[in-house]
Amino acid sequence: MTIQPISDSIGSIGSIGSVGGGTQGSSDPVASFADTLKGALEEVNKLEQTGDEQARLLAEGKAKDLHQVMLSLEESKTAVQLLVQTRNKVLEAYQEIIKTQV
Amino acid sequence: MGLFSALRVSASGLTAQRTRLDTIASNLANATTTRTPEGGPYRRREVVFTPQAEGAEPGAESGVTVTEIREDARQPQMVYDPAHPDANPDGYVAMPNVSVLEEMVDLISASRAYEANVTAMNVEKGMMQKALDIGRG
Amino acid sequence: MALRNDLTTQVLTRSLDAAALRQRVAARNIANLETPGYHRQEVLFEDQLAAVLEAPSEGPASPELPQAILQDDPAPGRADGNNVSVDREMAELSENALRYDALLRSVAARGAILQTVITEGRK
Repeated sequence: MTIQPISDSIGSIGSIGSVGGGTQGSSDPVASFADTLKGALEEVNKLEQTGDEQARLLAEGKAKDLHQVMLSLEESKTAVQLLVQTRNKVLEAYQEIIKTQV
Repeated sequence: MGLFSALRVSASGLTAQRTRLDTIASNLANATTTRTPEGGPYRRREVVFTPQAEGAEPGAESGVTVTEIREDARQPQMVYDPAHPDANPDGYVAMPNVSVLEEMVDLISASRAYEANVTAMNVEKGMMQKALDIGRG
Repeated sequence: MALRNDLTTQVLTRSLDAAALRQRVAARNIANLETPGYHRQEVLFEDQLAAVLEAPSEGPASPELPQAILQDDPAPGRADGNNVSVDREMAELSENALRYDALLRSVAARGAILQTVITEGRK
C-alpha cells in the first residue's frame, strides 16, 4: 500500500531533476531575466527623461498643465525608488548566495 | 496654452471691468458738466468689450479686451435754468446725457463682474496649489 | 511609457486634463460676462467617458478614452446676445475645483499605495 506512493514520488523527483537539468542546459531563462532587468532599466530611464522634459518645459514657461508636470515628476521619482529597491533585493540575494557554506 | 493662461484670462477680465468702473466714475463725476474743451456738455462714455483673439490653438485661453471707449449718441438733456451761465436765450441749459441712476446700476454690475473674475482667479490659484502638493507627504 | 498604464490611471489623467480645461473655459466665460454677443463655452467630457467605460469591452485591449470637447452653448441669451450667467459659472467653478481636488487625491492615494509596496511599508 505504501510502497506505491514512494516509488511515485521518487519518479516525480527524478522528473523534477531532469527539468532542472534542462533549464541548466539552455541559457534561455537566465537571458530572459537579464532582458527583463534591462527592459525595466530602460523604462525607468525613459520615465526619468519624461520627468526632466516636463520640468524643463515648466522652466521655459511652455508647460500646459501643472498636474501633468507634477505627475510626471512623481512617476519618475517612484520609478527610481522601485529601481533602487530592486537593486537592494538583488544584492541581498547575491550576498545570501555568497555566504552559503558549500 | 500656457501654465497661467487661466490666470491671464481672469486678469484680462479684471482690466476690462476696471476700465469700465473708471468710465462710470468719470460719467458720474461729470454728470453736471456743461462745458467741455470740445464744446457743449459732457457726453456719457461707455466701454465696448470684445472677446480677445484666440491664440494659435483653438481653445479657452483668450480673455476679454476693451476695444473702444465710445461716446453715447443720445441727445443732451435740456433743463430749464435761466440763471445758469450756459443757458441759451430761451433759458434752457444742455446738461450731459448721463443718468445717475443708470450709472449706479452699471456700477453694481461692473463691481460684481470684477469680483467674479477675482473669484475665478482665486479658484485657479487654489487648484494649482493642490497640484503642487502632489507627492508631498 | 508609464510606470502604471492601466485604465484607471488613464481615466484619472484624462479627467484631470478635462477639469483643467473646464477651469480655463469658466475663467473665459466670466471674463466675457458683459461682452455683447458672446456665447458661453462648455466642456463635454464625463458623459462621453461614462459611455465609453460602460460600453461592453471587446477583447483585453482597454477602450479608447474620449478627449474633452469644447463647444459653444447655443442657449438664448440676454438682450445683448450674451448668454453667460455669472451664478452658473460660479457654481461650475467651485464644482470643478472640487472635482479636480478629488481627482488629484485619488492619484496621490494610488501613488502612496505604490510607494508602500516599494518600501515594504517601512518609512
